[in-house]
Amino acid sequence: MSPDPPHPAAEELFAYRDGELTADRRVVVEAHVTGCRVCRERIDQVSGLESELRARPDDVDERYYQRLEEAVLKRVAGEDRAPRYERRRAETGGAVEEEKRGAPRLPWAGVLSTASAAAAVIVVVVVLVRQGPVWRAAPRPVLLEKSAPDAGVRARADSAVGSTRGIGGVAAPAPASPPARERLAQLEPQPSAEGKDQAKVDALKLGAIKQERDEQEIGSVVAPAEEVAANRAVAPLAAKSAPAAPSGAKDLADAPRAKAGSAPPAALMASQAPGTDGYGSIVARFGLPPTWAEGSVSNESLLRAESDLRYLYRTGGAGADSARVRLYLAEATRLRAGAAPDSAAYDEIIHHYRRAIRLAGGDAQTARAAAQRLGEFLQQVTPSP
Amino acid sequence: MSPPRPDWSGHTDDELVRFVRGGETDAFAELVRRTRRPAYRLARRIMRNHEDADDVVQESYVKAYRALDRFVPGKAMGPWLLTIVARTALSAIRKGKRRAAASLDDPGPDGVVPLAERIADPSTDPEGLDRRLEVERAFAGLSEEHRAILALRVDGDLTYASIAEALGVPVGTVMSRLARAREALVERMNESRKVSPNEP
Repeated sequence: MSPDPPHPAAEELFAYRDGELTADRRVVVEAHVTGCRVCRERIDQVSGLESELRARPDDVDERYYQRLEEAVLKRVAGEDRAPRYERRRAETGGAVEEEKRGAPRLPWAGVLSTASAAAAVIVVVVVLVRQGPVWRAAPRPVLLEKSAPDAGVRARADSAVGSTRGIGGVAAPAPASPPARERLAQLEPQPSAEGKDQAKVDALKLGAIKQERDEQEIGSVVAPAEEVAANRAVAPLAAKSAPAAPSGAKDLADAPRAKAGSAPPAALMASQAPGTDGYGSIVARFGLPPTWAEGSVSNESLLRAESDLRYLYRTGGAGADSARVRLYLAEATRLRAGAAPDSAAYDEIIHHYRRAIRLAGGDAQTARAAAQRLGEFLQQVTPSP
Repeated sequence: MSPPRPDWSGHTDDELVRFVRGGETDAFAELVRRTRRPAYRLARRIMRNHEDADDVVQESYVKAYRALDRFVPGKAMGPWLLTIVARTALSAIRKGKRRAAASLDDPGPDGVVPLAERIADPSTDPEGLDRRLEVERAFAGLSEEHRAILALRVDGDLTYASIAEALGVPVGTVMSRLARAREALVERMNESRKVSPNEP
């Protein structure tokens, strides 16, 4: 009588149970298990225990998962490094050193530039305050009134003083202050200026001079009337999306930043106010469908319509059609940039698609098209591994 | 009122990964939604309390976000993420980043229900409840190494090859370690029954 064949090793027995054995070993082990009650019981016992473990109810409920999701998004939003990394890969054809992704890093470039700017301001202020009497003897700064073409520009400059460091005149205008020249004139004859109040007077004078300089700066920065109008036109949009401050502010900042716009077409000037049919008339004029769709837009029409669409977007006249305008702009930029967009075009294309997705709201067709095209674009510019 | 978030639910994992890499952080939320349950369950199995598991899961998602460019298109996101969770959990254990083990009856923070309370379903027969608690206690008594490999197999439903990748060991080691872990679990159950006065 031959002895019973030895039991398979536990590793093999459980691997057989898990379907992880090679075909030849499976045949051997299966033949044994079929005739061996001990091995079958071992397998059944383990299977039963694991079933109990799998049936363990969740330790947490939906509230925890919501919190987890929010916490994770908050943490990754702070990183937001993916686009930059992608861009660098696209620019260098993928031959980029892997970013170090270990400990969190401070934005040293930003810290250093801020610190050096602050130091420079302090030095300038100290020098100017110490040289107060020299300033009095210096030639008067050129007054704004002499260079301003009309009173309207002057009024605009005055009202924009408080907002020049903001987003191009969208912020509430600062209250009108006395012209800087008047304040200087008031300060000049003060006898106390030579006495103990000299420092105070110098400081006031410095403030007045700085204000006058600011006014002159505004005259050149805010100059084009259409940009002022654009910012005013966009202001209601900003108010509407106030809770989403970062994206709203970015959107507003786009308007003066975009430099590819053309001179305003005359017909458009009349219909650029939000709520009018500016978008509708543009797409009709160039024979474009209401929403960009692959295969339905000729390259020529798209490029011809681009400047009008860009102007509409810059002036905030797109209103409810903003997402569709953005989608068209992304496509036009993409068309111009070709198969290998440079980093500026890459940024612009991505940005337009992203804004199209966000601004689409209930317009699922536009959102879907923008998302789809964004995905394809990223696929196009990402080198295959 | 914040603007409504785009609905990403209709996209595949691959598409979502591309969106995230393009700067659409919101799309990552959809990936989190799809994987959060198995990720938490795995972390909770390996770690001994909810707080540690929560730390591990959050850290794992941040790591996954940073490493998205290494995600291979066409592969499932779930096993890839579970691999990261397992590694993160084991790394936390090695570094001693652990809090005290929680009792099965410990009340948890908001949103966390003690296990004993959750499995005490009125529809569950008392014998089944006792057995379930017994198995959970036996599992909790295993070594970290055994808990991790069993959790990857049982909760993560990972293949031996994926477990090997997660743990950084050869497949042969997975086979032998998993067998030892299972035998240890059976042994603990048997010991528990020997000392239990209620055991028939």
